[in-house]
Amino acid sequence: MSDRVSRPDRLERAEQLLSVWSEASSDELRWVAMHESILRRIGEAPRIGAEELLTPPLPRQPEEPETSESTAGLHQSGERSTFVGRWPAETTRSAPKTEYQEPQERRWTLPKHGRRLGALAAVASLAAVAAAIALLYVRTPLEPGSVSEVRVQAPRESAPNIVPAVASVLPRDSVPSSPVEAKRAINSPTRVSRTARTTARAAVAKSTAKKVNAPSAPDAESSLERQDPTMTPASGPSNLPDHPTTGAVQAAVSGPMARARLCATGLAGPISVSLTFAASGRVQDVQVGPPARDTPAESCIASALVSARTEPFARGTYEVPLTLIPAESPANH
Amino acid sequence: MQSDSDLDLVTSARAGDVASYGRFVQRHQQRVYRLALHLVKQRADAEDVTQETFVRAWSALDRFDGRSEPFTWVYRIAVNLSLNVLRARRARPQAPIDDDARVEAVLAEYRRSPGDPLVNSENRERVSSLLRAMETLSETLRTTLVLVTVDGMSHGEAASVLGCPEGTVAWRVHEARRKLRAALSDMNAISEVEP
Repeated sequence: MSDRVSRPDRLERAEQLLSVWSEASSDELRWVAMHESILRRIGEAPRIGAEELLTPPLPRQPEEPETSESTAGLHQSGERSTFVGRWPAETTRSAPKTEYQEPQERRWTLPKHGRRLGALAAVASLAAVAAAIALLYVRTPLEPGSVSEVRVQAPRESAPNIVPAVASVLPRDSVPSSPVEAKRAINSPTRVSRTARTTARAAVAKSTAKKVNAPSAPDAESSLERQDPTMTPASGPSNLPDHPTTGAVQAAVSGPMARARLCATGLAGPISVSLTFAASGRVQDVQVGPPARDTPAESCIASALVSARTEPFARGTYEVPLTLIPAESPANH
Repeated sequence: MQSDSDLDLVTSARAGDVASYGRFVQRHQQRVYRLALHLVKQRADAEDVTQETFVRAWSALDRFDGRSEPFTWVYRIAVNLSLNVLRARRARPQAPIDDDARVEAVLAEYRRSPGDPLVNSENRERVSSLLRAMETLSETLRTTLVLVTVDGMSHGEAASVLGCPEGTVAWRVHEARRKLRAALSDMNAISEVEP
């Protein structure tokens, strides 16, 4: 290292050298080859889950501060970050205590003081959806014939994902360690509750659908249910409501609608959507109107909304007209 | 269509549009490769990580909920895959730092504009020293530093990739630079007494 350069300058000059490497240097042909290889592998690759790759990657440093107050003055001159001056005072006060929490979102959240209200609304929506799902699975059996008509977008989860799905509903000592065990658990009436079997069966259905490739997902799910006599619902109880309440429908669609809005990002104007629930409370049909009709967003919206679930009801079907406001398109970075 | 945002491309890709995903790959593969190379240090491994990142991201597109930027979401996958490579490699002997592909890659940028050979030599030594000093950092500090200092991400973007608060990123960058200064100072002290 040159003696002409003082110690602090040395680090900064070395960092500058690294930062000049704005793009990895290589010849164009190599990038093209890599690009083609990726696209070829996409066509050939099985639908493998990537849950472990979506988790926060790094462990916490032992000496890492608990609060952000102690880090507020750490900005060094010459550092390229835009951290200082952009961090709102509110964020500083409510700095997270631990490392492993979901990233603080900047572009998709409500502005400043609206964030807390938004978070409360999201928690309330989740609770309502959870309650509706609990009602669906705990109180009432499925209606006959309703499941086979559900249009499901091709799932992209891996077979090993069955295990966590089953594990979440099984007793601790009966958590299966493999997809095979998961299937065995489903067929074991003595060890697994009906709710557990239902959830595990859905996970197995997704996995089975993936093995036979994307378009066959609904067939896989419905055929599995047809084969399994335990999925045949009992005769309908007499205490079902005629149709789901408005509140139940709102709770059922609030989450899926938020996802559907993202699908419609960039489209102009409100989109008319018609959702038809089967008596089981599952979505039987989704009709997407213009301007999303016949666009890539149509299937995306349909696949988001098909996950809506409400409480079972007595009437054959129940149609709900909805208006979808597309999410605002974020600025390109 | 070339001006489509990342979110547009990813939304189309979720609906099965491979061409859109291809454009998304084209847009970000060099950045992802650069990140991977800085983390895994070897070209072949970096290429593998880059390809695997986009293949895995395609498989997991349904889990992209739009709450973050698509490229930070892909970056998280790339960081995880790079760390997997490093952990798998841990038992094997490390390549000597002189063979570090990163040094040549950085200096290649300077060679495009021919300059004083002495300056090039100084630059090589400077980069080598810095990279050697970075090896003394923990995985957590090094990765955070690469994202912010080398890749030029904001603290918010790095926080999104790493799944930690912005304040934590700021602290890590500060701590990493403090340790780098100390390490470079020690190296300089050693080189000063050497003949």
